[in-house]
Amino acid sequence: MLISETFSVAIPIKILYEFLLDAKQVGLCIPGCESVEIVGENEYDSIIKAKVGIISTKFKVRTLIEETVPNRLIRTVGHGKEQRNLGQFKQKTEIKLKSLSENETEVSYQSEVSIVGRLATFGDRIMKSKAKTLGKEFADAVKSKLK
Amino acid sequence: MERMSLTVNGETIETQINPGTTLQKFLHDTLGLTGTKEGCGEGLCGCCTVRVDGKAVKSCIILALQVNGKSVQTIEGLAKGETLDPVQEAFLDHGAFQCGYCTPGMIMTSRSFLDENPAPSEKEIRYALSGNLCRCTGYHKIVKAVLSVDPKKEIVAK
Amino acid sequence: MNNFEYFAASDVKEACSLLSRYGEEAKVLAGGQSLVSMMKQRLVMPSYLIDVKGILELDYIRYDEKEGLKIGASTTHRSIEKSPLIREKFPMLSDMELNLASMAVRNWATVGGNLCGADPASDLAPCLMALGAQVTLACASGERMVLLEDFIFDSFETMLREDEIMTQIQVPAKAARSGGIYTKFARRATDLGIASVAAHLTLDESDPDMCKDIRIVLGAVDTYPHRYKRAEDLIKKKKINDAVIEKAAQAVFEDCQPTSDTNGTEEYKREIARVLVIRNIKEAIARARSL
Repeated sequence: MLISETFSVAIPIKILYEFLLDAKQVGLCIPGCESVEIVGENEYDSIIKAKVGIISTKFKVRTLIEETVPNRLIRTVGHGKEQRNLGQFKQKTEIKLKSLSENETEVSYQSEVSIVGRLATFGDRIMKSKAKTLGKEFADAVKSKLK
Repeated sequence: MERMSLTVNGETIETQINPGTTLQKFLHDTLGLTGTKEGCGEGLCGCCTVRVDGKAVKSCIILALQVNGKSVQTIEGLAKGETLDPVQEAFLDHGAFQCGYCTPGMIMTSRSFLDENPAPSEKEIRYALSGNLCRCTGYHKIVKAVLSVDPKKEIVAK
Repeated sequence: MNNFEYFAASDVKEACSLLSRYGEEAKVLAGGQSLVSMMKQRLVMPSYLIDVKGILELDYIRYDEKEGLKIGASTTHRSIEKSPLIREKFPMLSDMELNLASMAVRNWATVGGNLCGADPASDLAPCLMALGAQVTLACASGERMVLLEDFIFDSFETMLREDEIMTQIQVPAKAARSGGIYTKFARRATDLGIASVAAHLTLDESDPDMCKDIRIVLGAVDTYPHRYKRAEDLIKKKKINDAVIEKAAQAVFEDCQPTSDTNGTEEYKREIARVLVIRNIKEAIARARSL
């Protein structure tokens, strides 16, 4: 399943890039993220809670920053396991940054996510719309953090 | 454990069950009425169809406790002694089954539907049976069987 | 299923007080046609289940010219389908029920459960929203009424609080020269819709070519059922002709946000929705004119 979104923030590209590499800071902006732990160079563990209607999930997520191009690109891979065995996911994400002006940056991300397990029975429709909502919340949180 | 009392195929049953027991599990596993089967387990295939107070329902997605005080009829309770229900007769006459797995559900849905619509059109029958899936027959003979049930004969069956 | 404690509430007051007591750990059980299935898969594991299906005072269909249609939340879909009253006043609801799930599911599932479940592919929600429905939500300390179009605000999300249950759905009395239709595009009967459209309009009393009011709601094709007001505004208070209808349908085409999946691409679903909007508005007009 492909999830992609583009948004712009009134933040200079360099500041935004540094921010996105700071896992602890990013973790505070991810909706439902309860904790972020640095487990290695460019490798992080996090606990993320998400709710779809009456279904509550809690994921243990491992993320590795695979590649970076300063002020241009951040590529991550990762996987997550739901704590009550509702499913697992794998992800590959590419975040691209583009300077629109001195104080404005365009962020576009593309995530390839594959889900297995009981959660997958809900199918793309719920996951995608939930991802859209979460993506927007993340963008808003980043904007307000860097204001 | 929760207490409940209900009628199954005319027999009053007083029992205690685990709240998480579905009606299908209760009928099939506890009472041994194996005609009511779990196919998909999600209420889509219709193999679990029984009648509660005369109405066809999907017993695999209904908690048994919800039929407390009600009357349940399974395929085993349709015939009157040695006399088969006209729907059962029709299925036999038309050879409207192969493996037989979907048959109890098909018959219970048909019986419930015909009680409310004694002389339906083929289209109405197909709509009524849309919640019962069959992997063997292609539905043709099942629909013919239900179409053939004589509404006048129903008076005996009820 | 997980182990849970079961309560069969006998009236609204009991249900609400149980919900207040157990909060987040409790879930309301109505027909259970969605909930029990999810519990079997351990997607939901409540510690307490409050069964409201037995609350007989919530099983009713009433109508009067002043207050309109009132349906109790525990009313089954089958009751709606078979109601001569609804067939006469709001045939759009009767027709919608014929294609909702299957007969056996309709015999047990409730309208309140459907709306509170807020499935994006719900058939009931778009129809009721197109009819301008309001819902009543009760808790231990009182009740409130909310427009259905506000009640459902996201995928599977409603305004229902933890300590509330839905008690009633109310639809304004049938207006003269009004008509509506719901069409669901799906591959087979009992399938969830791939795209569905509910359109309901009222014609001007003195000019049968003028649209006084219109509501267009899509189901299944977006993240949750809601009105397409930009499209509505292109028809409302205007003379209706093919061009106006095409414009409105185009607005729906542009504003809806479908998700590509095995049922079709975004573009495919958008186009299906657009065509359904055109057909449904034309049919709604015909019904409004024939009274």
